[in-house]
Amino acid sequence: MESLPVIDLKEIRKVYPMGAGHVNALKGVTVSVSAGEMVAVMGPSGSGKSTLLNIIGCLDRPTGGRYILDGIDVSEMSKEELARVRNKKIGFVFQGFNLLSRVTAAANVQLPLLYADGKPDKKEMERRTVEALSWVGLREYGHHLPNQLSGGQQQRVAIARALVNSPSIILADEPTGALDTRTGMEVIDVIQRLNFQKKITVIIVTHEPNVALYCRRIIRVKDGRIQEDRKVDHPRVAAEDLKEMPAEVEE
Amino acid sequence: MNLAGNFGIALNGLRSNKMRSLLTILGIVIGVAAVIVMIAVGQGARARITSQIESMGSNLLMVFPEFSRGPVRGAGGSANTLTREDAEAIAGLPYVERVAPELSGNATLRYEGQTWTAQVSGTTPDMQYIKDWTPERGSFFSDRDISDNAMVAVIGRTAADNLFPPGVDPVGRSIGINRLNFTVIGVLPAKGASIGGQEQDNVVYIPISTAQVRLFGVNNVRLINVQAGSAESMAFLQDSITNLLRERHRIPQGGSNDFNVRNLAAVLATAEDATRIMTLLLASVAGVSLLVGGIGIMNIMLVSVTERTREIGIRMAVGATELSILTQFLVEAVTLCLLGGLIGIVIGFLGSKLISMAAGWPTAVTLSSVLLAVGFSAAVGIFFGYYPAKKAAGLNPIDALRFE
Repeated sequence: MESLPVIDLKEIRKVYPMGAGHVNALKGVTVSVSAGEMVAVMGPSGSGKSTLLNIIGCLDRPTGGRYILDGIDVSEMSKEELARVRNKKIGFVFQGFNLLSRVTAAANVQLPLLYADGKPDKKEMERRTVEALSWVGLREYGHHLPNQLSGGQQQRVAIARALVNSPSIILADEPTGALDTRTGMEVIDVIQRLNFQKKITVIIVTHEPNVALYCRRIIRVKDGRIQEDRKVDHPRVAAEDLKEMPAEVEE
Repeated sequence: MNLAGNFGIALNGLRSNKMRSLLTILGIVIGVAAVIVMIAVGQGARARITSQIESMGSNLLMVFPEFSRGPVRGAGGSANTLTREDAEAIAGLPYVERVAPELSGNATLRYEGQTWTAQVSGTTPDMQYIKDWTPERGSFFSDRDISDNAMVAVIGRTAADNLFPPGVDPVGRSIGINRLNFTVIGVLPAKGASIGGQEQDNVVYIPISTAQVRLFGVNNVRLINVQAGSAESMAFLQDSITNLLRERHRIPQGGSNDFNVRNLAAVLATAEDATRIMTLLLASVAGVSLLVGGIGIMNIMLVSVTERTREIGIRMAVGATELSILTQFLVEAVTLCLLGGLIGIVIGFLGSKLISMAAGWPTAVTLSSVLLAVGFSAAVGIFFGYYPAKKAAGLNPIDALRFE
């Protein structure tokens, strides 16, 4: 399964100007992630893991180094080119869900398709939206507004939005941070199934060691450098752990 | 993202915040309504003035007597330099359609003990055609009546109403004008007030010969109306009348005219200029309120950009380019302005109808004023929507996503 690297970072550095001086957020990070991996990125706040995630997610450009995403050098792309790369290759899942509150779940899921190059026709968009919602188990909830859904459901809508455009990688930033243990586990389960069944490369940023145990590889970042990069021999499976949890009534 | 998609998103956003959208566009609504009403009132005034001037007769030149200001001054106390013979000579000029000399003065009318003062005007039958004013009952006098110095009169609506009791047909009745007896042979339809607001219907027309010989005892005329065959020939005709009269009056080279030829088209143009300036003035006042409305839109759009920072971040994260964010916010602003413009047109239309009814002042909502208002409000939307849209598009997606 581990073949061509999807993410290939070489000596990535990031310097932020701050006041009179500057901050070295990343001091030379070299790492590569192969297709189909599920990686947890851990580290204390201020370690540079958010900066790393922003660069991997093409939301930010490195100050130095090379970033090859899916065989394409994205480290010197323009803002516009980066927007297209994000649309095509990357799905984001955030801690705070980040859904548009004024439109329905279906419209939220459809959003990346609206910005796609060579936009699919209306029927195709609807088909893919329903497919993505079905995948996260929310087929019947398309017409609901986000505030009519529970936190776990909202996060699953966000996951449907991330996968609707068939990305190469899904970046999840503290996806369980705002959820209780059980709904957090449900979200991990969906992400794990994405990885198992759809073979989508997943990177989860978390500071919960428990969440990291569900990944195949853990990367620890500290002071702008990679401190530890190890494989997990027997990652836990969320679907199995869910069965052992006491069932709760969903909101 | 395509335009239709943006339009849908924009409309959705506006729907979900009805009260604020309404308050936002209020400035545009008032501005556009004001523009429509002001232009309607201005156009109405212009149409009214034009029709009043045209009621005096179209393609009309008026020749007035004037004191000569030459080195040798005439001894006469009043300018009485024009005669019927002058009028007849003018009638022989090319491009002349009709000529009607006039000699008028106030006189007392009498019918069975009832008296009334009206303007009595001696003229020729051409007058009815120049003024497009033929009797509604009876007829105008003829050329024969003029050669006969006939004692006949054609009477205007106001004079008829005040002299005769209701239900009496004036045609065929005998009336007294300054102690002379005339027979009424025609009644003219009501013509309304003139430009200056003067009563035009309190008039009695009698043959010019009768007026000169019997009533006023003079040889001159007060005025010669000349109708040209076409509007294009008027300037030429004005010159040829001037040359003809100078020759007839034996005015030496360099001597000043003892008459004055006035072109009514020029008067019309002056009046139209005045109303155009008035319309422009009113419209620019209304334009200022439209401008203020636009600033209101900009203000709300700026607040909206701040409020929706997170939304912008999300859109950027899923692949919206700066251009698509810019377009979305611009479309929202323009949609707001056009919506306001449409409501403003409806209100402006109703408002100008109301003014017509209340003030009895004719108004005209023209297509051009509607297009102007719509175009202006779209332009306001683009102009005042651009800055907030630019600000939204320039946001950094990372900061926008973290915005609380």
